[in-house]
Amino acid sequence: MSNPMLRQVQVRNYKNIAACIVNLERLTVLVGPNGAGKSNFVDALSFVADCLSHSIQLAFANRGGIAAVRRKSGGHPTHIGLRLRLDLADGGWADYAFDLAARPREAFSIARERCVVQPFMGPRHEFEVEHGTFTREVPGIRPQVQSDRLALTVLSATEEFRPVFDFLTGIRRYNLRPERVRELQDPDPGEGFVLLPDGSNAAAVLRRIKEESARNGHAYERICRLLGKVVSDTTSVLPKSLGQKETLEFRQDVGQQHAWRFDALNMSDGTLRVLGILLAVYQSRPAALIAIEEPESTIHPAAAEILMDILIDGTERSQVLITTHSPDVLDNRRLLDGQIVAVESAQGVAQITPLTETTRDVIRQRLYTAGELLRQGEIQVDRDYADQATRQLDLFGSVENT
Amino acid sequence: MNTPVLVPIVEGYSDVLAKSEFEAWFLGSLESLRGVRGLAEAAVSPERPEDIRDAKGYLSRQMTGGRTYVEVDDQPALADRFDLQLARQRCPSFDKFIRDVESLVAALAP
Repeated sequence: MSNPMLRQVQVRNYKNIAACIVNLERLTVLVGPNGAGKSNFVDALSFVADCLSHSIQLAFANRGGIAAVRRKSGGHPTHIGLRLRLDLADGGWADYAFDLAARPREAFSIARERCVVQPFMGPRHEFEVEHGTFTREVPGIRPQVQSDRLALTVLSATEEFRPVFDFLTGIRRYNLRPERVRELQDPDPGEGFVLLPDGSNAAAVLRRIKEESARNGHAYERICRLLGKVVSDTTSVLPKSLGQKETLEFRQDVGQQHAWRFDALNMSDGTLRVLGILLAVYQSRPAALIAIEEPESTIHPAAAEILMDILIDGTERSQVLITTHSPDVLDNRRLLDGQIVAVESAQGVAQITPLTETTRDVIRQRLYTAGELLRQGEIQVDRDYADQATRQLDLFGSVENT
Repeated sequence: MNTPVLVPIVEGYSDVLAKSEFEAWFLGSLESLRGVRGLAEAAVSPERPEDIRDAKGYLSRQMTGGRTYVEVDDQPALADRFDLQLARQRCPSFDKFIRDVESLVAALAP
């Protein structure tokens, strides 16, 4: 048994992405300038999670409507398409894709949806729906499908398709907001098992980790120690109740008999962001995939290496995807050339590719680190790969594992 | 990845590289680290620890209770506790490191 992971993502017509095929590792770093399309790629993944855990309608509404999500194009109306290829925990694999057709007046329908699951042992399972009708059925099951709901949500009730649903709804995109961590927090209806995207239930999540620490690799003690490495003199952080609200209390060693206590209110943005990242990594119910944009922002450059070590350790629990434009993050000697994905925008269209073979060679031979190459402007997309991806992208193509 | 250990001392210098990984030295003295950071109470040094690829991963697998080895967090704690004599016996690169330190210290003595 190994952790399941998202091995490849194909995206078509999502925001500024016309077509891309991106291979992911346990840790993947998207690198590129502002506005290139890094966030749009991350958002495409959380769009899938939202469509499955809530509804497509809501996933669009939360992003400002279909017009804001669908790629703007001069020509024909465009379908939004996504294909996700997973390695499953049992050593098998899965391939899930759907294609959304935009209709006039902010309406949409699911043109096609397919899911193929190949367990390590045993027969293959698959279903396919076109315009609300099963063209390939799951034997013995006749679920009601609607043209605005993904069939996988219904079929998640079956043992065969459950792992795919669980993984995709377990994709969590974090946009940690220090001010939401700092303010008094309401009791968490989710009992602190899962960290919310903005970190607004941090105290409850920390309380849960602390309670379960002995069963969970002593994660609480590790969080305190690692926080102390990034924010010097901090010895611990504790969840604290204030009436009905919850908050965090930090303790700092100031060389006196008793540690000084600080409320979250008095802690810096950087400290709260580091804590947020630690909580995302060590939360009691690990995410299938955590996506964190610019984890290094507001954090001291020298702490970037520790931050990366934390995220690399995090890959034992969750697949990790980060975006960055920090050379300090890319200077980490444990980061491999294959874990870096370059993103650039050309005429308003995102290109998302592995590094060119030449660049990868330079990194492999240790002539330069990826960080040094970024400083010199040498981290660039592979145009040939991008062209090839545009031609090869095929949401419902052959599922054979390549 | 090799972790260079540089030993500059006023009267001379010597370069010693841990063979394969710094963590190989922990593997060579694993018995002395039982119970530290969740390392199993029955943990036993592997044969020829310096030949082990991915010593960090090996250490992780010796940890109990869902822990994994995190260099930035666990390395200082283990370095504080590992038995130097055991590590010397089983890791020639660590033995060389100690010998070099000793001779440099001796050179400093009046």
